[in-house]
Amino acid sequence: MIILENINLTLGNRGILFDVNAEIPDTTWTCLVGPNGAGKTSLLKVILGTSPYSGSATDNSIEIYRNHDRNVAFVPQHPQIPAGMSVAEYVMLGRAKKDGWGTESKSSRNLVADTLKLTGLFGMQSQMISHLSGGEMQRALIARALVQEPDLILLDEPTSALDLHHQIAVLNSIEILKQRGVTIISTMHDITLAAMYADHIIVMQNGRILLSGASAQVVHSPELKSAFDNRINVFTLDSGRPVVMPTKDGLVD
Amino acid sequence: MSGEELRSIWRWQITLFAALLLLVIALLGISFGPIHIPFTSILRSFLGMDSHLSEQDRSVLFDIRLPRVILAALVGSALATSGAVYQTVFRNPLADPYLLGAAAGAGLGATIAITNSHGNLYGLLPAFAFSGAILAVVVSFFISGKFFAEPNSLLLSGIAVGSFATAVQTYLQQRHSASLRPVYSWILGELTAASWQVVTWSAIYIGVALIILLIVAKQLDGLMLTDEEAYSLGINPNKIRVIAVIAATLATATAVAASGLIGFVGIVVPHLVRGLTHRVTNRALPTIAITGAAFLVLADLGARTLLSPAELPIGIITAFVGAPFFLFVLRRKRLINQ
Amino acid sequence: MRNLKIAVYVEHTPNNLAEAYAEISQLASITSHKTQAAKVIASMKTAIAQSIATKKLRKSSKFFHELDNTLYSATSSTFIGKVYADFNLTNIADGAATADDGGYPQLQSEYILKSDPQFIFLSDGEFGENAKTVAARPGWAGISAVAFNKVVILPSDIPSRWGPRLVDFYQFVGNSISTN
Repeated sequence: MIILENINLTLGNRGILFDVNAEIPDTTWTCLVGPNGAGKTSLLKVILGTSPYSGSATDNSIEIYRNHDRNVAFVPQHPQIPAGMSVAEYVMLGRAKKDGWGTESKSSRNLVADTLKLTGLFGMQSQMISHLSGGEMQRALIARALVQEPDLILLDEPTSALDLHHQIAVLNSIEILKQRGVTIISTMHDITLAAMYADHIIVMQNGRILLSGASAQVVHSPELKSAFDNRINVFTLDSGRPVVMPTKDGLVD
Repeated sequence: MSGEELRSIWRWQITLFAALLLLVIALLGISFGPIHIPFTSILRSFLGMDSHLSEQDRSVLFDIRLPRVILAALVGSALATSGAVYQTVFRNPLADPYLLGAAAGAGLGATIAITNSHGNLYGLLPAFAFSGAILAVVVSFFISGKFFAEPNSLLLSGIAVGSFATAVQTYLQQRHSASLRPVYSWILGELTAASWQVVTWSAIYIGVALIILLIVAKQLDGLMLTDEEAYSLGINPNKIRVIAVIAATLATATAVAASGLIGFVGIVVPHLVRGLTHRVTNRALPTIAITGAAFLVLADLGARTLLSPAELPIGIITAFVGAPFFLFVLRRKRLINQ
Repeated sequence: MRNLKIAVYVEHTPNNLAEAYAEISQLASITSHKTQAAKVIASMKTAIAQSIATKKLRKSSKFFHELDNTLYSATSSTFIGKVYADFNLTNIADGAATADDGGYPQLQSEYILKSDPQFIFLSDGEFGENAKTVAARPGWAGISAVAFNKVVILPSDIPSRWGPRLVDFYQFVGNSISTN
């Protein structure tokens, strides 16, 4: 269980996060949604442990900041892509902590091979990571997070670089992780997809949490509409699944 | 599933090949010199068999050539490994072990030892060069202030400290013009001072530094990512940077103290190994260390034989061989990336 | 200085004794001390000739002139090298003469062992080198000069000065190699 209490974050003189309070239960999928600049990525980095915050953020009642004992995987939106590193090598970095120094273990090699298959990258393991397409890179990042066998996985816009086909593939593989007992926190700009996969949704605006709760509940709440300046409509499909659509300017329903 | 589906990241055959190369080159290095000693006798004496070597030949072999070859190997591996590590830490392919002012600091230390009016500091030259190198890097750290938050600011302060040390050194040299030649010859690098005593202390310091670097080698790869990514992979990027720079500086300072300023090894060898294997990973570090050793033993063989019985400063050889090789690797790399 | 109409006389490093004399007399004529100079040169010539006559070796011996402990030396093409030659000493640095046009090659330790000089002249005594430190170098204890105590520390000022005191250097070398 991750508990955030009165989290404030400033960078220089600029306030980024204000009085953020949240509880994120284990083995669930929580989605941070909101417009650009709402503070989603910053909150993700607080939970990762790399941003110095004021207030209290604990993971299983241990303070998060710079705690190297946790096993957290992070899938950034803008990774640094090293030149001259192969896909296999890049994904194998996920095993660095477990294997220690020296050559990688055989079980790590097997796990990486399996994960490359799962993410559709098997056969490309010798290619340079810098030569991958955006979608392949995204899958390599997720593969690297998967081989970490993490307790918690943080994903920053994991589907933004992907076409619909690969979006579904990636989201399904995250779903499998959740079933294996991994806690998932992701940011996502597509609220429909968020509602489809996530158990909980936290809506952020201007560094504050606007509302949070079970996905269905959040999606249908009027506050969501106001967060997006009333420019979205929420429909419910026959299956009961909500769909969020932007309104066309000047069109009133 | 079978492990053969994914080959291991680093193929140890490459390392083994480099090691064999080093062995052959080291044997060559021991075999050549102004005094002719039959190769078979050398082999026999190394294998512990009766070699019929004269007292003088034995002395030449074990007290002159062998320590010199070992010192060349130690210095070569130290410079090559430190260069590779600096290139990763500063994300700069042109970083070399002398980047943070180590060379200029060592140069100043050596000049102080040489120009000291009482002259009795000459024997302490290695200690002065070593302290100068370490001091320059420490001062660079302090000036940059931000430590590792911004590697580039450390780089800049290293350059500033280096320029300052060079200025002081030049001033001292001007004041003691008789010291010009010894300082100059030291700057070009020389392995002539090789003795078992020098080999022993070099081996200790360089050995410790290299072991540390080999242990953190894999984590160094994490420095090629963003700090957040590295952190999430269980790597503490700032800690690794500090450890890596301290160890690389220790190795560099020792190499400089033992043999003066031998340029180019720290850039050429890492690029050579990485270029030929198409790998940037620091798993290549053991191979880079071995190749650096082989490179410098070979260069020293050249330094001893090209103008024999005179010496050619080894720094001239490494630059002369290094620069064209470097261009070749660069060009090759560019062709591959196209 | 020429632009300031101050007469400038550039003295080149002499390459042999004749040049050294020529420079002394030239300097004298410029400064109008011709007669004194002639006297000085005459007395130098006598003293040097005497030194050579009494101390010159009948049988040539090999020597190594050490500039510093990285084994830089001076060949016979240098002025200082010619002084030694006058005493019938053979310079082992001449074996490496092609390595340095200026006549100051860096020799290999092994080559010095191989050459086995009978005399070693140290001009780096001020840097702490002496018979003891030389004997401690690997393999050097077996060199004749070391074994027979013929390691000579040169005075720090003589070998770099070219003038009337050249005589001192001749006499010093002569005394160093004399057997009695």
